[in-house]
Amino acid sequence: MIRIIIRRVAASVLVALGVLTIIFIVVRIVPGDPASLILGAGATHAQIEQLRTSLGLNQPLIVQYAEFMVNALRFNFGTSYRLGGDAMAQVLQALPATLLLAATAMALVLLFSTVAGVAAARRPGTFRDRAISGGAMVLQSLPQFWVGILLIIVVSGMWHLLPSGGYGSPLNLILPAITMAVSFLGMLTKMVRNSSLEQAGEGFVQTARAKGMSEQRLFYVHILRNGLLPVVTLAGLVLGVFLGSAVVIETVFAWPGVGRLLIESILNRDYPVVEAAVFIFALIYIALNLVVDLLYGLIDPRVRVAVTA
Amino acid sequence: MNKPVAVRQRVLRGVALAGSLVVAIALAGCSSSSSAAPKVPQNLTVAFSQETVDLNPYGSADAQQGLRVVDNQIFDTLVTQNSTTGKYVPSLATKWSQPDSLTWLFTLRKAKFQDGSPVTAADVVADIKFLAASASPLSSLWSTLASVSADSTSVVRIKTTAPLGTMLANLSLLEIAPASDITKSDFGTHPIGSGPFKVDSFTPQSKIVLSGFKGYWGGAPKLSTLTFADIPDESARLTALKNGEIGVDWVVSPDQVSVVSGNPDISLKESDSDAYFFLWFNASQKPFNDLRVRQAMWYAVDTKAVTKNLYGAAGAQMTSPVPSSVFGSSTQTPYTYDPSKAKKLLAAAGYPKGFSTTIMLASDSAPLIQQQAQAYVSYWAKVGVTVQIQAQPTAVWLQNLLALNWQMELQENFATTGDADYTLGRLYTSAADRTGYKNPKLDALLSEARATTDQAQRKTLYAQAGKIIWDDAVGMFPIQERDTYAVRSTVKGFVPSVTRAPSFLTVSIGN
Amino acid sequence: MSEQIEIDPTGILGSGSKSRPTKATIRERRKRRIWPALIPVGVFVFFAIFGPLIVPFNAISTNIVERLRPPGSVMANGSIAWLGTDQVGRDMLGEVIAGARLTLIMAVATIIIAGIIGIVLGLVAGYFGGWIDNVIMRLADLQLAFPGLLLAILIAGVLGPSVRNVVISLAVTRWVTFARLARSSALSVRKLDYVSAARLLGASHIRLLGRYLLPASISPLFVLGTVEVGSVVLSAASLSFLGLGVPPDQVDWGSTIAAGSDYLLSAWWISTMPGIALAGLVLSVSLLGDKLQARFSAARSR
Repeated sequence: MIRIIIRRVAASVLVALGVLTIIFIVVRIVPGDPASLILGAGATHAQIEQLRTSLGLNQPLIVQYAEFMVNALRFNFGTSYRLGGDAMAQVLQALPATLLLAATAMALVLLFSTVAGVAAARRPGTFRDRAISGGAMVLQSLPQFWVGILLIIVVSGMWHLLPSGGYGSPLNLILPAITMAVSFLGMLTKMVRNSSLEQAGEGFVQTARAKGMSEQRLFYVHILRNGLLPVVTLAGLVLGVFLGSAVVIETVFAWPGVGRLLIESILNRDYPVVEAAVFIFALIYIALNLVVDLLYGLIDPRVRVAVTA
Repeated sequence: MNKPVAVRQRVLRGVALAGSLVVAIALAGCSSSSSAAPKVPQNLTVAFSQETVDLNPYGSADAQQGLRVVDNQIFDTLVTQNSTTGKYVPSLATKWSQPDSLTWLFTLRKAKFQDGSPVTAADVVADIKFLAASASPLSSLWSTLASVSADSTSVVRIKTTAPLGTMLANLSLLEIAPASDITKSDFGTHPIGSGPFKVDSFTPQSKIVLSGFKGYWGGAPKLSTLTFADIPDESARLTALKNGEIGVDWVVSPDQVSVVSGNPDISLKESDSDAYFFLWFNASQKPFNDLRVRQAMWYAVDTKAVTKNLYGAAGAQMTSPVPSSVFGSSTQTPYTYDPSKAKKLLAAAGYPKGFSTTIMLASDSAPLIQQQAQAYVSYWAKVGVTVQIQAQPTAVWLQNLLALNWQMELQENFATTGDADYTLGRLYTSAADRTGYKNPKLDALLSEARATTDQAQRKTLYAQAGKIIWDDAVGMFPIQERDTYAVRSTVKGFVPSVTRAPSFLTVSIGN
Repeated sequence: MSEQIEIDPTGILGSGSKSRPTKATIRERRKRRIWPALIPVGVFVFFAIFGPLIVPFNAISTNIVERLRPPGSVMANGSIAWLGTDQVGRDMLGEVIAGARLTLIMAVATIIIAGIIGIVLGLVAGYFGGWIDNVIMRLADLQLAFPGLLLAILIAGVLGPSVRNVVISLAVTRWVTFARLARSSALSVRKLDYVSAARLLGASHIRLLGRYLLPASISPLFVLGTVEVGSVVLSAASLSFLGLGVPPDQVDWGSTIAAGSDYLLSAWWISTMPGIALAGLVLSVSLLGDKLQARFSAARSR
């Protein structure tokens, strides 16, 4: 068991290093000179050269790469070109806002998809099931940013119920969280439904029925519990994907999280912050994946047995 | 058992109890009504249409309106301009005199900076020297500075190499900060001034929180906090205004006025403005180094139609390189809308089939700027010139602008001091090299106009300078603006400003 | 990473069990008829290809006199703007149709490129196994370590807005699902008798890959491609919405929605119309993909 954990952790660390490498490769392709971008117009050629040297931009790529990796592992991505503070510190400062948003959206998704998926699975093939499955499919097709915009138009603009953006009170959280939840609501509802139905076809169900267990008890206690297994573990991954969609949602609602910081930094060519933000997102996602992998191994004994065999 | 007595006693006790209760309530009621009714919290959030990237009044953003709007609250200048009379009145300086044509003496009042230290002449001296040496957009105003020194702790002596007719105008733009602070690396994010509001926090792309400075020499402001929210998206700004999240929104783009015009909680105030648009051609490179090409581009565009259809009452077609309200403005011969003339000029310059180029602008930086550019692109396409729009965030645009890293650029500009020297004299000299256009004759006119104190003479000189700039199509000057401010009814005492940098000293929140 | 979910998303590699057609099966088969789902997709494709000929649209040509007109307004020249006009006076109907073309072009190009990369890498990984397989699969894991659009945003942001860069950044992030499928297919096919026979007879690796493994994986990959179109369209629109997609002189649905976000309370149609089209396309393609999936997995299990 310990061996599995160590192996998985080691794999995750390697992936993290690989992610850093990809970040380094992508960002250094950029044409243009970071040094003149920092110093701004009016800088003399000598000043630019001096900064290039101190930033190590004149060294061979391998040396730059090594320095980058060593610094990155210490969470040091340099200073922000725009604001002069530590790049990673800025990202970490914006992180709680994004996590709050993702967590709230996660809660909404789990709640609604479980309820809807169960409702569909209880009566497969009926109108209710098809309506819910159809609705789930429609939700999955909606572009997230458009849903956000529609909500702003209707809920904020027409009905004046909620603020259209910004940060501060719980009211600001509602629309962005709903928007973030919407597209995954479809996917998870279908998953809950399908997973529950799959379980319903399993052998132990027939046995339990033969033994006289009530349908209700059978469903809620046994089928659902097993059916939710893949969903719960998927939840960890979905949380990670929420982080990926944070960029769009935070832009629509002016939510001051890492996603918005990332876009602003990209547009302003503030690459230290871009690198730090992308790394943080990927790191969280890798960590979540690791936890989910290990949890799944713990919960489902078949997986554990298969791996140790 | 003496029943009647017991009953009476109980009744008496009851009455006494009730009575004392009544008295107690009455007393409580009296005391609560004698104390003041609960005060409305004096916290105001406002949103300006341009982003504030930096608060450093001596840095590369020092001419940016986003910076001026906020710095106006944080700092004082030696003098300020009365917008109705155009005259300069005392602010941090109580009086001034000119012992000779090259020397100025300013006496400072007793005032404190927000960190408690007193405002001294040494601070003013350091500030002027720093700005003049900074190579920032405002520094060229001080090109004739010879020396500045402190005669005493409250008297500043400024000497120039030539008479400077715009000394007061320049000083009205110089924000006074403590000498020890201006070299600090975080001066742009936590500046200290002597103005009515001090900086609590500056979160770029989010908000700037100011709080009232009780020790302000002009009297404490009524507001306890003043927050500038960064909401670049117009719809979001207006929604925030309608929901009460912000109290004032300016400038409201002509497209959006209809969104709030019927709203009972919001009033719209209009104001003259020193804001206008110009479109510069980079004359240091092909094809815009050719006069015919520049003129052709102007003839190809129907600026009258664009002004009318995009801006309506909020815009007027310009007839001079500075808005008509500015001292030194003079009417020029307009470029009519003439696409065939444009094509002929292009052919004569060697571009019979047109050419491809780009136009740069800062996104969301001015009302309808993107739409304006798109309209021009459409007109130019009709004469064979393909133009690609490069919309950049303000910080990146500013760097490219100052580095002359563009072919055409469209922006809003402000005649802040109401004097043509601030724009014509600062932006179009060969030394400033802001557009790649260099003309020694123009230079001579502009420096002479700056050095004269005879206002009539200055006017003539600026008329000549304006004609050169206009006829040589250094840029295209399409539209001057009239501003709309949207103010919630709970905000009292707010007055729009011609410079778009209103004062919040006397603003308060009512009911 | 998430192998238990990714390995066979279309369920193509069926379990191989056989069943006698019952009434239930016939009903199932009718449900799986494809052509009803082809119609809406066909409509979109038709408009994407021929639309700009029917309703001409010029992204550069503005008509500021007619700007911000609501849907159904009559223009000065007598024509009707069915979906209204945008903030510089361009006809929304033409704009939505022109956006369809660009969006579909980007999506199809992305899938073709991602598909090619994925097929090549996946087949090679599955066929050769060993360290080649390991390297390719680690590369895939690396790709998947970036959640959602993040890597595409990074690449598109660094390269700058253009149609080509959108296709590059999306293709680079999407090849993995194709590769995984191709790999599974290669893994199962390479063990088959006729492949071993061909190898014994001296066929080269290239021949084996091209002649035997490739055709076996084409149909499941095609189905996967269809399934992915919807998702790619959404990603491309998101990139444009963020300003990292098409440049300002071209229109696609994402950039039109972004431009309309300044007018949500006044000229709401600018953002709403392209969004409806977008949702409609994704929905139709998803339906089609589902049907194709069902058809192919049933075919496999027969």
